[in-house]
Amino acid sequence: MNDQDRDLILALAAGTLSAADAEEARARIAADPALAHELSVQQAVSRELSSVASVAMSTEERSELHSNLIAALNLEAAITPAPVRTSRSIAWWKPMFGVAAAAMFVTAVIVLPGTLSSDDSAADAALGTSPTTVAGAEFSPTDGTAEAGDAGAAEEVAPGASTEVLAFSEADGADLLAATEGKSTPESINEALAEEMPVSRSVLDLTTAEACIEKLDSALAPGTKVVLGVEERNGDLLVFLGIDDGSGVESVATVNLTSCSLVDVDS
Amino acid sequence: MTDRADLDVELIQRYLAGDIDAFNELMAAHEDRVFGICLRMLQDREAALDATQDTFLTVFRKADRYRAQAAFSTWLYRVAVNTCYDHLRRRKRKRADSLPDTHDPADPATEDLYEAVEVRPAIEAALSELSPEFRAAVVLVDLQGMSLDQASDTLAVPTGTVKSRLFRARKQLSQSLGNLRPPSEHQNGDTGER
Repeated sequence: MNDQDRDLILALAAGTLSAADAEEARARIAADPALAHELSVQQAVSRELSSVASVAMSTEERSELHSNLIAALNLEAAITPAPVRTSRSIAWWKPMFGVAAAAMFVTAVIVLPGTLSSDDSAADAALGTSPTTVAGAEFSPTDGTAEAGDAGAAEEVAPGASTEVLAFSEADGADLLAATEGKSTPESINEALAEEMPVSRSVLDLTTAEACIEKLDSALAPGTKVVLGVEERNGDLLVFLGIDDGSGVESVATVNLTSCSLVDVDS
Repeated sequence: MTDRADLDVELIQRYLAGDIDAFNELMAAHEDRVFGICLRMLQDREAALDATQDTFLTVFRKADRYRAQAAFSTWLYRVAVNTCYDHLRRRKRKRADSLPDTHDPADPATEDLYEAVEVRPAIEAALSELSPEFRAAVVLVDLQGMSLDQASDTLAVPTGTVKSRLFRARKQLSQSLGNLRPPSEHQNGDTGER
């Protein structure tokens, strides 16, 4: 049997031939017992399979699928706001998502205000020996702007707190610096990133990020640290930190959060 | 593009802009078909659910790269089939030393499997004997009702390849289904007794 015969049989079995073509094909196939047998086989199997009922997920399966996807994709409309943790000696960050901003994923820049100290606070935090203190930047949950806050206004952060951030694909520090250079507010940075970069969303584990960036503080230029976003690369999570020395973002540090190492600095 | 395809493009854009309703609408439109493909390919409900989840994770995570040159559904189903191929490869490696290659329809455990996927045991057993590539052609065309061209797009192979796989897969299924008829039916058929 050649390909033309095969195609003819498939087309007849699928019922895709015109009436005239189908009649001609049937006549040709009827004259050849081998082709007639193949046609009957193809039609019988196709008919048998087509009679199999379609399947659907159960309510429970559907619900579980949705829940898992929403969690994995960080779509929880509001990801529980991560309150600010306070630290005895270091200025730290506060995610800009508040309760009211739960559904607004775009405004995801996180500011790490001030110069990070290199004392043992990270170790304390990691060990949970004492609460750390943050002189956190104060963010408006609705407009994404930030102001310097005071330690007294700081809130407790639950261990393992996370927040939603922008996620890039195949970005590098130079791209991000080009997009954000000179910008100084989360709002302007977000606008710039939204315009310049293809972004989606991801989640940032605040506890891990906090500890790692604190550990790397001595290797980072002084200034306000702004989490521009993250990227998963080869199984590692990279965090892009914009560093604002007071006149807007001047450099971008790429930190491998998985290994807690400084990958690169673009300035 | 069709209305459905246009709507999907719009929903992807909304999803990328952070609209969770768009995510829900995309899921509602496609999740059963993706699950159906995965279930027929993997023949295991739990594995099919895992593959369905993996498929949507992949697609939503890469949604920003979708350029609407092909229908979203084509891309989605292609990811689903490839995800199933991956699951089958992993399963094969995992079971290589511990399980037989084919299902024994008389095995009570196998009967449970058939029940779990809601397909007649004979058909399920026959499908399980097909190579993943042949099975995919049959699943898309005969079980999911795709045209040969749609299946070609989904599988990213020429239409001629789909035709060849489908034709040969059906021939193999025909033989398997004949062989898998219960003995009593064989007897009846052979003797003409009823």
